Amino acid sequence: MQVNLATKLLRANRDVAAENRERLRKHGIVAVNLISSPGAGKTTLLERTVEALKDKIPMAVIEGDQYTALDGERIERFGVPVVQINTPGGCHLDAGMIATALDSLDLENLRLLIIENVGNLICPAEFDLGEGFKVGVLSVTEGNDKPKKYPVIFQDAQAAIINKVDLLPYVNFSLEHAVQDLQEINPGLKVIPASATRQDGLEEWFNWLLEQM
Amino acid sequence: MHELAIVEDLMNTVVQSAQEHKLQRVKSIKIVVGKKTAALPDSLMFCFEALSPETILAGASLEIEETPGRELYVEYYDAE
Repeated sequence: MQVNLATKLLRANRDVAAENRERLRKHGIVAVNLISSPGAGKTTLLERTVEALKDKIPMAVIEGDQYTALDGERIERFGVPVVQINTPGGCHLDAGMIATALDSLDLENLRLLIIENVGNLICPAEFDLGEGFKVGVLSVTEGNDKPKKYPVIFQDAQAAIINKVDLLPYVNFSLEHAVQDLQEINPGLKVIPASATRQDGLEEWFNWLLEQM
Repeated sequence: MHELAIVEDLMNTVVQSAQEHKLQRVKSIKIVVGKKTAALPDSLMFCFEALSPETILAGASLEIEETPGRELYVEYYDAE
């Protein structure tokens, strides 16, 4: 016999994500899901962000990484609560991992939660974590064809940071084309060119982030 | 690599439904996968072949319809 289902897959993840979203909303916490390929500079950006905003707004960080606690240790030095999640061999964080991480955070006293996803432009786009919004990070060393090659993440994101603009003189990357492509993929996307190491463009990012609170 | 999670969920969904209908053996499954989910049909097939033996899905054929969007669902399965 044929059984018609029309059952959506990965719905278990979506259900848990919805619970996370409700839990965060109840506590008035804005959660950001930070996504990029490996080496785009998410952690450096996060270090600068934590450094600049931790005294203005109570914040915590969830760090996703396949094997190490290196990123968590980098953020912990700034004295904000950090939960490290390791996904041995796994390519993305899922909503269940975030639910567990939320258990170990003092949600009563938080306003901003930044989740650094596992470095990967593809899989994390398919897994809702219950975040308020996604932010994509693209670095100029990756080439400006990446938004078109990996459109889903930039379609879903509310902001995209084009990182490492200090390296523009040395790489084959057209900032103009990248911005154009990003805005074609997602007309409402806030695009911020920045250099996390040189601290260029970061004020615009901090201000935009604070406006979302 | 999220294909593995998709196939695990697919298998759980079908096994659970088949048990509810008291069906013993699944012969075929049809799923719809949008290109924008970035799930590769070959990888889905590989994961299915790796995970299905020793379940009631053993030997079942998996049909994958590709669509342009973000669809991701089990359309139907055939079982006895």
